[in-house]
Amino acid sequence: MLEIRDLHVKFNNRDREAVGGISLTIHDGEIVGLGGISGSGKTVTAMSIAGLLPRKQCTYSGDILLNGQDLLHAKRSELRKLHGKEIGVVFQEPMSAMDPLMCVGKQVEEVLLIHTKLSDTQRKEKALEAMASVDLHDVEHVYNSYPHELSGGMLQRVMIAAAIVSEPSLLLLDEPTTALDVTIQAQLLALLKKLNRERGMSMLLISHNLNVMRKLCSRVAIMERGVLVEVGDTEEIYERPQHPYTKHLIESIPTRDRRLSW
Amino acid sequence: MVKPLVLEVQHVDAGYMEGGLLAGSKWFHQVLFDVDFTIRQGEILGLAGESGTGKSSLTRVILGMVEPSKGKVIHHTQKPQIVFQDPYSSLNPVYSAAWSVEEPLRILGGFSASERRRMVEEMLEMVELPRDCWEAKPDELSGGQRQRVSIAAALIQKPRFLILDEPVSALDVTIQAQILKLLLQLRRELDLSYLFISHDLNVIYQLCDRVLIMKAGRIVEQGDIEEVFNHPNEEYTRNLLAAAM
Amino acid sequence: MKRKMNGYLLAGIGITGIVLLFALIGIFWTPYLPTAMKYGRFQPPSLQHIFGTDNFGRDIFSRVLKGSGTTLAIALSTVSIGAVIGTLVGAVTGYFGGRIDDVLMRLNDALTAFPSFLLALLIVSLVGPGKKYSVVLALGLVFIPSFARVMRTEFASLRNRNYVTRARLMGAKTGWILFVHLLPNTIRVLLPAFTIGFNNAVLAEASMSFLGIGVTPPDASLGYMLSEAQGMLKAGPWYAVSTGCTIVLLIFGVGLIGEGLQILSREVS
Repeated sequence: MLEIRDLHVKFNNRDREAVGGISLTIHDGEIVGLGGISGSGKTVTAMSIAGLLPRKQCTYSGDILLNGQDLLHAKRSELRKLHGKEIGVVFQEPMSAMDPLMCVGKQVEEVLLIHTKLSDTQRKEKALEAMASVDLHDVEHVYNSYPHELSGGMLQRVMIAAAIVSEPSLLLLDEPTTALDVTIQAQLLALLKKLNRERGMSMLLISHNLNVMRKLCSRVAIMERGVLVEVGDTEEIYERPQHPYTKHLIESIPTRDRRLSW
Repeated sequence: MVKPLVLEVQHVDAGYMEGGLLAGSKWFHQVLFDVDFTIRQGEILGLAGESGTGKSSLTRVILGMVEPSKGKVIHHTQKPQIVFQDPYSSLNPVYSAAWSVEEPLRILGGFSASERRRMVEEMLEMVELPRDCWEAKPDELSGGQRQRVSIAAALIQKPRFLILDEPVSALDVTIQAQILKLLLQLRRELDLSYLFISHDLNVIYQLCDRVLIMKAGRIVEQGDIEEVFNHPNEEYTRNLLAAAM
Repeated sequence: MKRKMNGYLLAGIGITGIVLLFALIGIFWTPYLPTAMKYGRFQPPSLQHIFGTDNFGRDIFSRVLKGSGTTLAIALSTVSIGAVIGTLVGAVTGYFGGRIDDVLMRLNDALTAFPSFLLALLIVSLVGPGKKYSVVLALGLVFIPSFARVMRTEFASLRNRNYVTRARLMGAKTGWILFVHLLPNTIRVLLPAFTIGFNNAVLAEASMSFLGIGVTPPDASLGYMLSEAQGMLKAGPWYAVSTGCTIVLLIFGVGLIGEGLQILSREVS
């Protein structure tokens, strides 16, 4: 479905490559996690997939193929057609990802306005449907609300609705739960699982929170300093990490199995 | 043997005045309700709860920045120091790490320049900040290093008690683990008490001896860490724990 | 912090340097006595008088050297008054907020609302025109509000930083917080504002002298000389050109420095 082949990205003002040759495949209906600490290159990888790389300020090589279409070298105009339609993106901060002056419903259907020729009522119908599928209640009311009237958890649901309304084949999740409280976080993870199960939507989760990754992903890839140090089944990696860096990372996760003692 | 108390918070209510410019248009917005707990010497007390439950209001009350409208806060030692979550705004970007650590001594007064220098060096070594970072400005330091500087600046005043307001939440896991270890090490060496505030229950479990669970301005459950985590009495605590698993 | 020079800054310093050099030389030495009227009226520029002479037969180059110094001194002291008092007002209102903020900022608004030129005129006539530093005082006052507003915003946004809270918990006095913690952090906006203010001051002084309420003879500023030159554009155009160009050079140079500083502060943050 999504195939990254030997991706290199180097920013012009840096000495080190931000991404130093990574290859990763996401199959249909799979949730893959891309983890690592800040500065490991996971966000740059995500930007490359989403076509958000500042192309003039960096050099890049390799291939990113989404259902056979090249995302890395595609022209801006071609990319624009893919954006939203083939790839939905959910960001960390729902508040700053939304226009404060537009009611959220309109923002959910915006992508349809750009990519389809649906009528106003058809669009609204689709938007309400998407909003219902992310377990928002009283969708008519939420549709007409403004971002500041909703809680962080609700906003993130709206963001997910906006990302899936055009039924993209890949959902890119960039730290989607980091800004939320644990109980809300748990609900959202359950929702994402449900969407994956019911719609067979593939997802790529970018996160520094290895607990969240473990709960959601079937496979994980761990990045360090621009390269993938380990890729594999989630449980396999969490139980028996092979690479010393992964081991170190996994051991650093605060868990309830052991207490720190000193 | 029961250790001596460092802090007593007795049935505290607190809140803020809110409202417009006109005299009659203000109202009292209460955020803390009957908060009651103690901290003993050498103890790490965790404070858990979701955002907006009054955790930071509680720290403000303890630090004396907000007067409780009811109840009392009794400090049995000198006033505590605080380490904030955001290591970016905790240090003045204009000054070096060593300057920030030295600042409290200058404000306190009564130390010669060489005494100050010696104490700062001692402190920076204690928090294990690499020597070549001592004269660095905050924007040249990593998040973890900045947090070490903040801890040093708090500890140089020789408090018995430290409030740690989400001190590791902004850090990557590996750095987080290092800072937590440092905090435990410092507690042992200096016999400190901590009020450790976090939304991450797993971190609280790793570090704390006792825990307070807060919800909407009230403490809904408190007790020994193992007791609360393994046999929670309240529905809310159970939900919180389940979500964090 | 590594601070890289940029092109704007270098060019600005170079160009401003020329005028500064004029002023410095003018303090110690001028080729002729700037007030002596004995070199022949309306001599076009020549090797003896590189900028020519004016209607009274005075050497224009000597007058430009002296005038640059006067202009620089007036502009510098004017902005300094504005910057210092404006920073104090901004610091107090921004940091404390509340009632004192309301009162001072409304006063500030009132000052801003008044046409600044009219205000300066009013102050000059109150202090007494002709007095040597009435222009400086008048323009200085006029410059306070803009500095106060900029600095108030800065102080207000900085006062909630955690390092301020920490300092307060250490028992730091307000003065320490304002001047040791906050002031150095405002340099990034203060310096560009200072350069813009400086240019406005040069222009304001020039226009006031042009109207005859600024510098009075025998002193001469560039603006005063420009107003003199106006009457003899036909007979001695070189007078207007040389003084005008010096003003333009100064403003252009300082403007470049301001631009350079802004780029610098953007790069650093």
